[in-house]
Amino acid sequence: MRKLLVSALVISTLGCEGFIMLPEGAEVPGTPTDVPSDTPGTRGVVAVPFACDAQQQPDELPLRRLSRTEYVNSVQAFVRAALPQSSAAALTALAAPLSAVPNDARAKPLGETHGGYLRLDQTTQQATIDATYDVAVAVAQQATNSAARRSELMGACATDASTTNDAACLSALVDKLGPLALRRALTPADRTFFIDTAGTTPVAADAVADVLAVMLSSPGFLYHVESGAEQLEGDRYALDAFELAARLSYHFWQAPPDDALRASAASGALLQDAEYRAQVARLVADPRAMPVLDDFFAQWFRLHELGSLTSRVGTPVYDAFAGANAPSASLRERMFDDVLAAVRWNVRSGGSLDGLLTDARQFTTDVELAALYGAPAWDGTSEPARLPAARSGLLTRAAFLANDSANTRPVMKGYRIRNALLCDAISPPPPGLVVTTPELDPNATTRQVVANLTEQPRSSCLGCHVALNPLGYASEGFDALGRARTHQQLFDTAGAATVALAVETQAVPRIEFDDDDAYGDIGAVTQRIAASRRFDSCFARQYFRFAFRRAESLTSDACALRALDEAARTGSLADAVSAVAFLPEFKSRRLAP
Amino acid sequence: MSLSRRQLLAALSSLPVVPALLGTRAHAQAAPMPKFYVHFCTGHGAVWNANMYPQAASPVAQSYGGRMVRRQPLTLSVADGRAALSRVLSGASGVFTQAIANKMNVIQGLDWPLYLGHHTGGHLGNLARNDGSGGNEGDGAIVGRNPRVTVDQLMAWSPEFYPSLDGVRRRVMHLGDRLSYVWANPATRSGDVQEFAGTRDSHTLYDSLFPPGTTTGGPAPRAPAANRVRDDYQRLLESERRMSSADRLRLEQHIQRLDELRRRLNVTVGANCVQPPRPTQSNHARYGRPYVGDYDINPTSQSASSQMLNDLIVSAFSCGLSRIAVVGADSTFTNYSGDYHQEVAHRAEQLAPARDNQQPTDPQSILAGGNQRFFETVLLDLVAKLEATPDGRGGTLLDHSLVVWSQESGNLTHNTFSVPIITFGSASGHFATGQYVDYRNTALTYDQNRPEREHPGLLMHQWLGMTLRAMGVPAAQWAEPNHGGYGYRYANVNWGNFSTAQGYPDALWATAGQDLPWLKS
Repeated sequence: MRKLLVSALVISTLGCEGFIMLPEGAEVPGTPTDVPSDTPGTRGVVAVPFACDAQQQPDELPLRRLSRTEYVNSVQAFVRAALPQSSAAALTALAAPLSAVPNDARAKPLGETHGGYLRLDQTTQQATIDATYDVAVAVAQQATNSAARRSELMGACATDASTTNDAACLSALVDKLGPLALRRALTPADRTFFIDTAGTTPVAADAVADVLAVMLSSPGFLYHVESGAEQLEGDRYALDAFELAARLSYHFWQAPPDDALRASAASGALLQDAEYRAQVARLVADPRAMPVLDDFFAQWFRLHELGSLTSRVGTPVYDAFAGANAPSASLRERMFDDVLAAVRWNVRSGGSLDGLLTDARQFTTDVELAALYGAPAWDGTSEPARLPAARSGLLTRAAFLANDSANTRPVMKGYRIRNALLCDAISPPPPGLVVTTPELDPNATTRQVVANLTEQPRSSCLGCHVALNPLGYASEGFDALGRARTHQQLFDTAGAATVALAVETQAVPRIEFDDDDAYGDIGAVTQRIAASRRFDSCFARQYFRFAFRRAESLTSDACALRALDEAARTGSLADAVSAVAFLPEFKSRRLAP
Repeated sequence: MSLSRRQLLAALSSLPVVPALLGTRAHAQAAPMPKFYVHFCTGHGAVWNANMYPQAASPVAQSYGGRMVRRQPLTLSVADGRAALSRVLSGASGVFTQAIANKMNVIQGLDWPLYLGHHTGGHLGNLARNDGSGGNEGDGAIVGRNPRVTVDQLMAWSPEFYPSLDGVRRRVMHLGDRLSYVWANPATRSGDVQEFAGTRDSHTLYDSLFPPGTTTGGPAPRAPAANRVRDDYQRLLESERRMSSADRLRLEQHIQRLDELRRRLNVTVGANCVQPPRPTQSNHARYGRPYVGDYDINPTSQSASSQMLNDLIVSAFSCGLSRIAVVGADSTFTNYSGDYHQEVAHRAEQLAPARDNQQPTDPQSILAGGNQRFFETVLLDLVAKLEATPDGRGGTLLDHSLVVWSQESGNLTHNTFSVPIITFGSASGHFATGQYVDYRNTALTYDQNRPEREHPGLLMHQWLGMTLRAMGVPAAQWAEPNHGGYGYRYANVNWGNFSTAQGYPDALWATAGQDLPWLKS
């Protein structure tokens, strides 16, 4: 057997004051008595994450690049500005080169094995440089490939017979599109550079195309170039108005600043507190913020980890299990929509983060999913009704219950809650262990099978599974399609029903480490999570990653984390997502020479 | 319109490879022939030894590395139109001929000597790309902090491997995901080690080799704009704008990539290069992009999709557009519809049926079948195409290649004892071929209780070092500080029935810079 791990499962506890720090090897309160003392998961560092020390200097990412989504949105905005009449046709033609831009990888902090955010991928790939160059050239060609397009781009001066106005014609183009590309006012050197790019034939198609291609490949377009303005302290500088505008728009919209934000930056008004607050409120309330929040919450909740729901349709056991609810190919996406609709509604209606956790209203507009819920589909606009009584909030939405088999997966359900929603680190299975997915047993409930496999007294499995399984057991009142149940119908391999056994949902979830109380079902567990405020603290960590595109430090980023945590605890969901814009780390940048 | 495989093979067999690569036939007679490297990577592993390897047949044995190692020639069994070395290593006898087997090596007993769990980087030497298994401070985490550039990239940026980049559009064709890793600034071999993005879309690959609008014999258009783009970055770098030193480093890394882009935009394809027509549909469009439709349970589509990539690899090699390909299998080459890793790979060591209600009832059979299908329809497919391409000197492109197939794990999934290494080609005579070699130390067994036995072998580091030498990359460009092979030195098997010191003693590391027994010609 593999040596037992020295560094064990990090079980963290969070009260109102934050985590407590326990030295490795210290006795952890609440450790189950039937767990061997050296079993993984029973001891380890329990950190105090949000102990703010203003003397700590947060890390700073160097020259962040645009994410793929940000890049595509920026190209589209540029094309719409350059070709106001024919941008739709041009963008259709640009679909192929844009599709060749490599996807970002879902990057996660070192030591994490699940989850992650696409924004954290800051690698600069050769393939990315190649593809973005191809896009730049393709945009330039689209904008210049006919006299009509050149006229649309530059005005009549581009195609008239006169050559005396050509230089001015190009200058006007540079003055119009250059600031959009660079997201700041052009310097004289910038103007000269772009104009010189055209050479001696300022409005010739290939010359103008070169100018546009260079603009769209420039560092100011592909990166968030931030040089700062006023020095604050040490190597930290306040962002200037244009840099701040770009930070706001790319964070909340994943797109460049719009006219109003650019105007605010150009006038300097954005640097005034009242205007800044108004702009933040406007951006968060704008529909363009919703896809970004979808992105964040979908990645935080790891919705993508739900596999295909149709892979076992047609097999005897699965068909017998699904009955009249055999899933369609689109059901998986509708389950995601259900969760994200709840997010959107709460953001728009002033709901809180904990309100989202406990929100048991019906948000699916899909008839198939609504049938699984035993409720009519929502119309998408009116006040949503409450779901049937068994549903108690986020953790009873189908996306948190379903999987691709006829069997529930209590361990993985528990892992997601423990690791993604409470931010507890979980050690991977020990080496040499061949993990198998518990199969339906014709005569035992899934809980009984899982307990038999993973909770044998003094086994090496117990240390981690005691922290995972109960969180999954609590929702055993729902099957692998998310349907409510009181009994688990079992089948033989031919799909014939054998016996229906009562499901047991009472569990000891240990939301906080000193809590050995049993809770009756997932509804009670959800309430316990909400009361612990650990969901809010985990939000702070996850949202920090999404916003700053890097893993958080529990020491040097503690002040920011505490502020985000506080906003989540005390404000609305909109307040919580807005709070990041008011952090000093958001409005300034370290520029270490 | 697309070419059928038969049409393509016929076209390839008529390609004057050497003139395309080296200019003229007269020149070809004098110049050394370039070498080519292809590495196929498949997931899971877990093929039982009996299914993966030839049966022992009076092997020659010798002492090496503190154990007896064994060798025997590869001899095909042929029956009913099928030729086989083992259940997995089998194919149609018209393709899998003894002549091909004579250009092949089957290597058993090369280990990553730690618990690596799931990984993609280990195939080519970057152990850091793993799933962090083994605990937060376990093996996966420890090697995770010690990334390495993968061997394909060491070749790609070695002036010895690419003495001239004339005609080279892709130093590496990475047709996979998270297999290839390179420095942030490869020109200066500096910066963090990061993933080298790949694609498995045949149109993306085709367009990178034969950019739209280009024709054989002339440079690609648009180079002036790329030059000006570079000027723009240099302008910012030299400006008085306030930037951190880390910002400047990022800009320099970007400029290096622009230089690579500009170089490629000016590539002139050899006049003798036969540019294949661009298929109207990409492999993904034709067969269903992975994870869409029935692609993942349709092994015929999986094979055909991979074969389209193989066609492009051969075209790129023939035209001198690239000399390195790293290919990741994107599916299992089975029609299994469930959770393949959990239900097949994890259970593959169990004797079927393990439990009354467990499906599938014979996971090893499914797994071995998928690996056989990969071997025959993907690996052998490429080998046959390389073998069908003459080198202009009486040999074939295969003779100048090293084609490698490695699996994620050894004969039990997650564990990296005895990761199978199957090779074709001698890399222009560097390797002795036609052999089955077994380097396992059978005196030591990891777990006596498992029906499928695992024994410590020699170090994968030794194999990767030998690979680099075979491809002409000087050791000075990749030397490790504490052993002669390639890859981060870390061994930890104290969890088995033998210790690290027993399985991988210092003496073994001390010989990691040697050629492996019997493999050097």
